[in-house]
Amino acid sequence: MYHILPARDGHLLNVLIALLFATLFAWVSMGFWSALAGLLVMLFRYDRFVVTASLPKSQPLKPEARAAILFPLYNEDITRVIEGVRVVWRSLAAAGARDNFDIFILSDSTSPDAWVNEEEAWNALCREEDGFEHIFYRHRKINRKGKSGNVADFCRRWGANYPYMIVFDADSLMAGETLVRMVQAMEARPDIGILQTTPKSINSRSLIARIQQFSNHLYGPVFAAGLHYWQLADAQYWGHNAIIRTAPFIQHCHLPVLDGPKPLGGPILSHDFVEAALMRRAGYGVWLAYELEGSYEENPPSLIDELVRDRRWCQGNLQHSKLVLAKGFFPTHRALFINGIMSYFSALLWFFFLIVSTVQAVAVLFRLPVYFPEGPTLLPSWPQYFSGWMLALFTGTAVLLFLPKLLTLLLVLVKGGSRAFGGGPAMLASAVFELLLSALLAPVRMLYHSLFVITTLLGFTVRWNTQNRDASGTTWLEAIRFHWWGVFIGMVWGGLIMIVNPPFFVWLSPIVAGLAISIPLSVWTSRSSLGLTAMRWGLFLTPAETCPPAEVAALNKLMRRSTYHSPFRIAPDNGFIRAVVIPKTFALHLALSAHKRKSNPAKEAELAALVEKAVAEGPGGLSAKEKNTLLREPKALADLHTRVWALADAEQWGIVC
Amino acid sequence: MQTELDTPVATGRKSFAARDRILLYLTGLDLGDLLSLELAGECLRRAGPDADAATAMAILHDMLRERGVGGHGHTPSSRLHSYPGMNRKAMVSKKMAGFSLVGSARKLAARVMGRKRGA
Repeated sequence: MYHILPARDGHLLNVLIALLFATLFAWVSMGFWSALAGLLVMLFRYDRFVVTASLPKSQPLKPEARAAILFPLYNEDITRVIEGVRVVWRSLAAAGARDNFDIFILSDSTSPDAWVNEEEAWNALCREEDGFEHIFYRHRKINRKGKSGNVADFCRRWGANYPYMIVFDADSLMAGETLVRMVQAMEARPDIGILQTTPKSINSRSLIARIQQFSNHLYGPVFAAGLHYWQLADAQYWGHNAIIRTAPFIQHCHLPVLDGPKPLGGPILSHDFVEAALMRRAGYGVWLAYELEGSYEENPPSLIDELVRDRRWCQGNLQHSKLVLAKGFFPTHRALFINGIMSYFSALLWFFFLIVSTVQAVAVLFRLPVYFPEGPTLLPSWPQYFSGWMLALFTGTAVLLFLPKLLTLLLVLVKGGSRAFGGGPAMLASAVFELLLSALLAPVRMLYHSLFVITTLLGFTVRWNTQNRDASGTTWLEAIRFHWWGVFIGMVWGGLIMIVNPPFFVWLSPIVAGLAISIPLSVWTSRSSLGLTAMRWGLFLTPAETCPPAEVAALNKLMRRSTYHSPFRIAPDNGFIRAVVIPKTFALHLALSAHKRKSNPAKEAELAALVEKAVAEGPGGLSAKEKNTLLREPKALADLHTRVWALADAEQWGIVC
Repeated sequence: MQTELDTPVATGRKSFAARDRILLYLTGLDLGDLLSLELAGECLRRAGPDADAATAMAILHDMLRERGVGGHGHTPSSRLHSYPGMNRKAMVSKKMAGFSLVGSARKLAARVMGRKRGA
């Protein structure tokens, strides 16, 4: 690389470009070799280390092999969560394993509306599915240490009752048979501490989510097989859709608080990688069960949602820099920490590489070639251009990036799996579109990941709230607010290079083009209408759509159910008003509330004033904190309930007779 | 003295409001049709034909409290447990010892010095 760069006294720049290129090339090649290993495993269908291969197909679980299924929630769409729980519950019943599993809905919701909605949904679910003895709900008052703290709270309270726990995300779905297989594997292999499945994406509607879903189904199995090939018992835990042996998890995997100030210090955000490393350190294996089907998750619906999520993950991964040299960790997990850091740091390196290349491309125009670098000689030193080497380097990079995907496509075609993706031509067309969109989005992700790394290392916390999404996706205003500076950089950068060094602009054009059109790209790819249009054209189809598994079909059917018409003019998601007004919801919330001892007079006066305020100003006059206060105080809530029902005009509370 | 508020039309409006409010409340309580109508009838009888919504609701709340229904008279024994009894276990994190250049250098020096003395 160094030798093919123009040698016009740009020695330092050339060294920098060569170093950055070498680092990035090495980084990309790791993924290449991992994918190649996966391809060989899938091609020859031979992997003697597959965890579930030796398990008997149908063997009932022993009564003592009990597992708790955990659904940690934080202000989620409760309808989707509850229907997912219902599908899992029914699937377990169909598998004949209901008595071996309990489900815990662990709420960390801070929204008063979400809290009440969760209570109602849990109660309705248990009544309808006869689940009071097996489906439980716990609302945590203080959201300490986020999701990892939520799971730790379960471990402290009930973990001793269950040899295993299976952690879900709010949008996770797993088949009953898969859950049974996982428990069987843990029973057969006492050396396994964590068994991670590879979830497949489902139910994507927006264009970007559908493309990622397609990519996940098509390329995911190969990459997963490759990861398993070299990780074996030192695999990663991804935080959900995995079974954990509870006792060693409780004993060894409680997360410490990292020394130093935030954002690199403090509670560990990306807890899953660290828990896997701690489990392995304790002597238990962490395995990837890539061969198990029946594990699903959902994708972020827009580019902005994906980047908001990446912001948290970037900070979490950079925190792992404090653990790379911690005592006792296996080398593979240290490598995985570095891998996680490089997932985001490589974006910054790539950005630097482009900047330095741009500087070189501009500087070379202003430096005259030196024909006699060592003083007067007979023969001049002509500048040399190694076009062959340049082509070889370009081809090598392209091979690393694209060959695994090409070979995967060939493998699927040869094995007859293209029908599940809509047929050979549709699958190939989808793959081409996926490639084009990835190429256009890559510079946007590079820019944002670079920003995340820089702000995290400098100690800044950049907060973006999640969007209020509806079916129409990202609005133009949201996209402009989010992407304007990337567009500005792309256009200025591209414009300058086009004027100063047009040949270099050709190389740079994919980067600046992606940045320049990031606003319309962000809007259009978030649209469900475009996603569904592509689906109707047969593009980005997946096996979960062409031949839906029973659980996915059941979930979709349940989500399309019409809701019961209520005589109250209260929106279904307005939990606080429902708890105050609707007698059944009020009674349920009170029944679930801890009985409070009598408060001190000052507190009682404060609560009385809050009730007066609620009656006078209506629900719109209360903050979320005030609503939560009322929900936590049964007597105050009962007073409010009685006063509201006695109002002559209670329309703002949804009481219209 | 009769006022406009006491005319048959106005009194009828108040009793309709009371009736509708009671029925809406009992619908929302979902006790079952017969029990709801029985409670509604009893409540309206106690309230009388001239009662407004507030009066009728107060009587209904008293009636429900007498029967221990609908969240009224919330006591520890009426609590619904949404999770099983606890089986507490401690979960404590261990300090993560990191790599210390100075500490490693000291250990190496101690090993080397130890070998020299032994030799």
